[in-house]
Amino acid sequence: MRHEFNLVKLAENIYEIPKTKKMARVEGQVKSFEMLVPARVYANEALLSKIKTDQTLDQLTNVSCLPGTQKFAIGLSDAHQGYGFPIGGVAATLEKEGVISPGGVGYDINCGVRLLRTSLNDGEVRPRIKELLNALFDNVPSGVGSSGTIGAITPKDLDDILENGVSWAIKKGYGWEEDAANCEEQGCLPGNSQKVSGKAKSRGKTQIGSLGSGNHFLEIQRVAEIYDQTTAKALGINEVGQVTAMIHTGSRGLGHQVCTDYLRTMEQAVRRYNISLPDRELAYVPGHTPEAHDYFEAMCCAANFAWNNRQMITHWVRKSFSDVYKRKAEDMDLHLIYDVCHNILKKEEHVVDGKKLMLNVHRKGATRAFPPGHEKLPKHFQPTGQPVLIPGSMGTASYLCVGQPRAMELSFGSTAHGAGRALSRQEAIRNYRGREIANQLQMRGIYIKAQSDTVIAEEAPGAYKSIDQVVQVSHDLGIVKKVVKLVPIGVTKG
Amino acid sequence: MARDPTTGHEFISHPADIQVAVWAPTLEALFRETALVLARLMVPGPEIALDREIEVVTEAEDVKSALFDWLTEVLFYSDSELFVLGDVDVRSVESLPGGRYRVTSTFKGEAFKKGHHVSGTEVKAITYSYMTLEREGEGGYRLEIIFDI
Repeated sequence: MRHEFNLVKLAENIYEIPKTKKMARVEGQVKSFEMLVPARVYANEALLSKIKTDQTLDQLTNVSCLPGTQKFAIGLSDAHQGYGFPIGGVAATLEKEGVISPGGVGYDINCGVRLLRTSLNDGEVRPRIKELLNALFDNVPSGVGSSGTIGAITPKDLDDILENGVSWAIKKGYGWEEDAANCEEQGCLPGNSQKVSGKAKSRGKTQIGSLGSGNHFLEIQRVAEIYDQTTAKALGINEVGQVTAMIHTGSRGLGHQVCTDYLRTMEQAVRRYNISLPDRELAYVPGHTPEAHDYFEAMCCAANFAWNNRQMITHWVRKSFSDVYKRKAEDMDLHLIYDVCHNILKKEEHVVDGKKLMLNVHRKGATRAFPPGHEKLPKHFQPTGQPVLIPGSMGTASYLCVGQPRAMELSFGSTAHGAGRALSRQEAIRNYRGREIANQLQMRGIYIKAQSDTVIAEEAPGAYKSIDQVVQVSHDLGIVKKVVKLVPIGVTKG
Repeated sequence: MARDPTTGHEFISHPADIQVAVWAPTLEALFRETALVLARLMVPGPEIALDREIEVVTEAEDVKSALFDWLTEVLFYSDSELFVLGDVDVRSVESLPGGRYRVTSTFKGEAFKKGHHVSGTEVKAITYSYMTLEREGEGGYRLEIIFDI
């Protein structure tokens, strides 16, 4: 149903839809739902006008009807229509009485971004970029039906991955000891592999170390601008022109199946608990129920799988640099700066109305952005705040930021996760030719290697919102601080 | 198997994912058409050899869930066995007591060959989001469905 929303501007970049009753059509009947909290959007006028063109606000007000929701349902500056919950949103609910919903995390559990630094500069990398992209393309399989180069892993190894997180890959030699400390949650959440179905395990068994397709990518970048020298230095970024590598992928078929399985489980539970939903994809159960507990443990497993996936890819990135430059990765300073999740559910403590509460924080297309001094950050990030990685679309800039104190007040310690689409894929294919886009990017010094021209058209820079504006809104709100702007030199896509 | 002229599909503009409308005179034809749309999104070509058959039977609490579960099997075989669906024989979509539905079918296709098959759009999941499946008088059925990509 199309709604007119009463969007009130509270301050620069802050808009709110006050609590109200809302009507929704459910299986042919119109039902009334009560918004328990306001819905908030953090955006500037230009981004907001894009957000208004799809179902984002309708979905966001549905989220604000979920039992136990605290403060407000949040749409970030990159928000767009999703399924059930919008993408680019945060919903925090009371740990026990509040709800847990697989739709609030999404199908690609622990889809996330990782950034590696190097001691190379663009003058050394540009002349060999094609060689480097070819090596990456061979070492990191991508596209439909892509399996990792190590083939199928044993059921025992898979269980180890699902329960012990990124330490599996590091133990097997696919990483450096220090890598785990530079991942959100140190690359491990408390999973129980028995809660993951045989189907999900079967979908994941060959996919570890593969990129997938769609908006996932592997990118070689150069530092274009440094906004905060001190923080940049602390994170190992010393000068403009320095080269970095970014990895964007998630938990592949394993995570997709975990979400599908538990969406179905919760749907049955919804009937049993007699819950009425404005949208079937919002299926939820209260946090204290066995279904909620099982989903959380399975989701943690999928998150652990994703960290191993990005870790394996990290290994192949290091190897690709090593092969091309005939130097050890260690000698090229290929350290992991950080690894963030942007589709995840966390149990976190937050202050609501002056009280500390344990909450289920659903981040769907949202990145954690804890400020300096936050107790959950490891010691080495205490002075800087948590590194936040916000990737742009293909061919546009990405940002390295750090979390700031106002994130705790405004967004449950969260910020945007990327540019967010502005055009549908069909419109993009109608408007752009993959080959032309690739040629235009090449003239700007950006090489693209993709499985098909169609994916290049779908992912054309013009099909996305402006990443610069998305990040600027978070920066101006004091949710994050911009540290470094990165622009691509070479991209491989599925 | 030839396609009935009253069976068809069209893509609907969607901001991020893939939304498709499908119509067909019977539920069986509707399910088949939807599975073929899904399979061609993932592997647009070339022609898929039909040298492997997989029996797929799913049962669920209503017709939409039956479709959701059955289409999820296409994704399952694609990921776990690198199976490319070329055609599908939907023998029945039966209504059972209590509103339940059972789908009995045979998937036909071959293993994905790198360099031969085109890698299209990887579909992560079938969704219930804005899903409608309605009977259109005597004309048959119409479905709208979103695939998460």
